[in-house]
Amino acid sequence: MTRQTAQNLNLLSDCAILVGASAIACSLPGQPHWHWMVFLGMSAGSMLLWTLGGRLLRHYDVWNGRGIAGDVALTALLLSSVLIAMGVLRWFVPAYAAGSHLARFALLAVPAILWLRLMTSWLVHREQPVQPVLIMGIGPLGRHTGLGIHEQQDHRRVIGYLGFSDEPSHDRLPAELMGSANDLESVLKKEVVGEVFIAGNGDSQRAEMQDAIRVLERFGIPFALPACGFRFGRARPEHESVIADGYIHYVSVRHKPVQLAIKRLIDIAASATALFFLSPIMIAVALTVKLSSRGPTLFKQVRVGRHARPFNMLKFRSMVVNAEELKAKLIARNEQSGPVFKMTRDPRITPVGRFIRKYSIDELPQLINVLRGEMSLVGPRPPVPSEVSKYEAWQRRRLSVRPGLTCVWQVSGRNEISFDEWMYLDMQYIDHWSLAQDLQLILKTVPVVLSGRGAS
Amino acid sequence: MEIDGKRTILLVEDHPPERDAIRRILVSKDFNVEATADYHGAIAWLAKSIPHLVCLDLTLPRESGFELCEYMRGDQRLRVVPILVISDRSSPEDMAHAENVGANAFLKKPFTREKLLKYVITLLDGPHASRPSVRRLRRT
Repeated sequence: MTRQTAQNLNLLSDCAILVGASAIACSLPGQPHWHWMVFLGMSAGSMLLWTLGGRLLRHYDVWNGRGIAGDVALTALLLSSVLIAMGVLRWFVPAYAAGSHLARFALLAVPAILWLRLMTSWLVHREQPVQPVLIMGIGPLGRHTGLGIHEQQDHRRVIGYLGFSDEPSHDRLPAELMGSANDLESVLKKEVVGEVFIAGNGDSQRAEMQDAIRVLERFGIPFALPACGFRFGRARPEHESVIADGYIHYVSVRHKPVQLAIKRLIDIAASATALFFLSPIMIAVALTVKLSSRGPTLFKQVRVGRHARPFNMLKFRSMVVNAEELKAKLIARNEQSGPVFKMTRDPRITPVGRFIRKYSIDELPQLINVLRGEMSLVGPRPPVPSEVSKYEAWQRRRLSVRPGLTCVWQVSGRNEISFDEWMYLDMQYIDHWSLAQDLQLILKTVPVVLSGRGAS
Repeated sequence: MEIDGKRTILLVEDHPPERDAIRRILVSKDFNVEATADYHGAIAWLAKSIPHLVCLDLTLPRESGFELCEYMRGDQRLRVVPILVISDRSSPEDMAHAENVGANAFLKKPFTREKLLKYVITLLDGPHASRPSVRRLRRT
């Protein structure tokens, strides 16, 4: 079953559960009559709220990249919002609908929808996205490695080979020959690569292998080295699971799966709470933006997310509608080194825009991006695609984590540092990431935002 | 060497149950099977005659299958005899080592009767019987 089918089935079954729960809630014994009005209101209302909320949170997006814990937490959040909304709506139609209707409805729908989501999420995550693999080395080792991956028929796919300089090229490879070991850097800039197998000989190809390792560490791309290099007639590793495929696998960014799951849960809880309490301000700002100048309330900008996947980052519009076209004329007056555009008295900003930017209110809609799983509270700021295309090799490592609302740079003194220093700080954050540091950064961000210091 | 028009396969495998199982499969297809348990037994037999194919286990009591491959590829008479390695050591490195010392194909244990026969027949009769492609076999 593909992800798309799983998600579509999930949507259909969720709607069926909502209708079914409404029907049962209205027809249980103890009720004097079958309240078809209540049933209609309940099922239509819940489905409408559910699909609206689901759309806002990208609940049925195929590639949401949220993880099972995050997915289930978000479902719970969506369910409670729908129930609260239904509870509020009930006050307007008190004639038939009793509180017990809603309680019974919740009792039936909540566990069913949660359980279903858990199952779908589990199914979808088992079917991981295709991981593109690059193999260096076109000798027997490289070829057998590629054939082995091919045979496994798992989520990995060999996209190509790079040959070492002393290897004759030949045609028996299971994937395209993309160049030589020297081309590694340019290939990594062009292609999305999940892991590189360095199928070389530690004696004769040592220098080239070492160079490749340096490049891969700079890019932050996982790689694998042959486990031994020696020939064994009899001996085998005592713990075979360590080198199940004959390779030792290395990663440049340390995995902290439990902390990452906790981070995601904190993101969901905190952004949902913040959205709830800030909603009066946000509605007021939305109205002011809408009424004070021509154009839409929200500004959607394509930014580059985790693993270089683009997403729409949301902001309150603070500039005039044709801001992007004006940018080309102003580019000569850029005040930030590197590929980012910054300018202190940018004429494209509206008066209301200047105020909401000063206090970072324009960034508040990004809480929705956080709920959706496209962003996190703390993480490197998401770059625009044109910035990414100008990145140097080591800077691409920024894309290995979920981007965030705030990071080391934002609390350091904000705009007054150079692009390279900024990238360096982000890299420091990625390499030494911890939950405790995240909390510290959030706490440090609050005074910086409230004082309006450094923002423009 | 053909006996009654049957082609001869030298089977080098030290574990008797496996040796018997492979022998039974090959004999059922009308091959003449000579079995031996180790490197020295194989060398002694090869000194007297030349088989059409050698089926070889890598893990042997004293010298390993790799050494037998090296010996055969260094011998003028035995250089062209196809070698099928049958082993449960099947990491890409093991397979690359086997290929580097001159094995023509690599069959992973455990295997089915059909798979063994297909490997054997491809090595003996395939369109490129003299230099069979490991890849063509493994693809199927």
